[in-house]
Amino acid sequence: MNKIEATTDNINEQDLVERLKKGQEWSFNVLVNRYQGRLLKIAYGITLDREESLEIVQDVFISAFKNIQTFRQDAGLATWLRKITINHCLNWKRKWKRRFKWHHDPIESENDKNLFKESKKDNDPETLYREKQFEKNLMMAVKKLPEKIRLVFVLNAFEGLSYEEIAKTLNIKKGTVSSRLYSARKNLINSLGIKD
Amino acid sequence: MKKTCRRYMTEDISRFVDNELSQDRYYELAKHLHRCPDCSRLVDQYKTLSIKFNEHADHKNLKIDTAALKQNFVHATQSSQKRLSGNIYLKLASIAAILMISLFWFQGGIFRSTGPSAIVTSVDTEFSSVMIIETQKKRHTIIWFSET
Repeated sequence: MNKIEATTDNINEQDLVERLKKGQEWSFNVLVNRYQGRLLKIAYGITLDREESLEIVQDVFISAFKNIQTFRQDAGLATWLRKITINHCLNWKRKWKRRFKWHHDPIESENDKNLFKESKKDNDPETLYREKQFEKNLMMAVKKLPEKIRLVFVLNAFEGLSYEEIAKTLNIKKGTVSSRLYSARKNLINSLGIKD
Repeated sequence: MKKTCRRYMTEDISRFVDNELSQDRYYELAKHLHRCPDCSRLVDQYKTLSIKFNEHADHKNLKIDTAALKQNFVHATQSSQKRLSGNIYLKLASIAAILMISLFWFQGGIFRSTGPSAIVTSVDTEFSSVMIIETQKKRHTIIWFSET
């Protein structure tokens, strides 16, 4: 275990990939330790389901390990893993869509207008309650976003990718990224009942 | 497309938040924000959406169950090894088959003509010759004719 922790920080990507190609188990552990946080957030952002995102990312790592020989290193390992995660998440969603309609939780009629005005340092119970309620309503609003729009929003919010990077990842035009992100923000603000 | 004020579209504000405007336009809008509370408020709102969404995902404390993953990993490596060893046997069998066929081919084992078993009869005249031959196994009759 110490060996893994010691090498997680030191090993460079090229070395890691070579070791993975040789099938070394500890390099797999390094891969998981290094990338699980990012990939889990992406998977959660797309599925909005904690358990499913954990399962999906496990599959992503196994799939990446099995297919590491096909990784050509023309893009970074993180980019490759991100693409695999997105594909796994979208396949998961399609599978569930066939079984039943996607979640339709009604948004509670809470007024979140005040949250934007609140000071972040304010920790009184009312503010905390309002923040929690805002977060809850925001997640419901995110859930209502169309898949394509949410995907762009997730990559922007969680990964901080530029429009160009998002466009490359999803094989869409840069202008489409811009309009989808704008659409995501507009929809979220409308759903939360805030006048933009 | 909606306008926040007379000067900027809301999509411009969205692009500003992502630092995706040209440098000139970015600084122009940044200056404008000091004077325009509507645009400034929208920038804050857009930023808050991403921050809160991020915080929500962080609070989920997502962490993979390493024991389960290790089990899956072992299973995956074993099955890939099986597949690999299966492939080796398949390759060896294919090579052996190719060698056998080649050997027969060069020695004439498979496609060697069996040749006639016997000349049943033959007739020679001044102008031509006729020979009636029978094959070895299937006993096909071949009539050979030649003009002299």
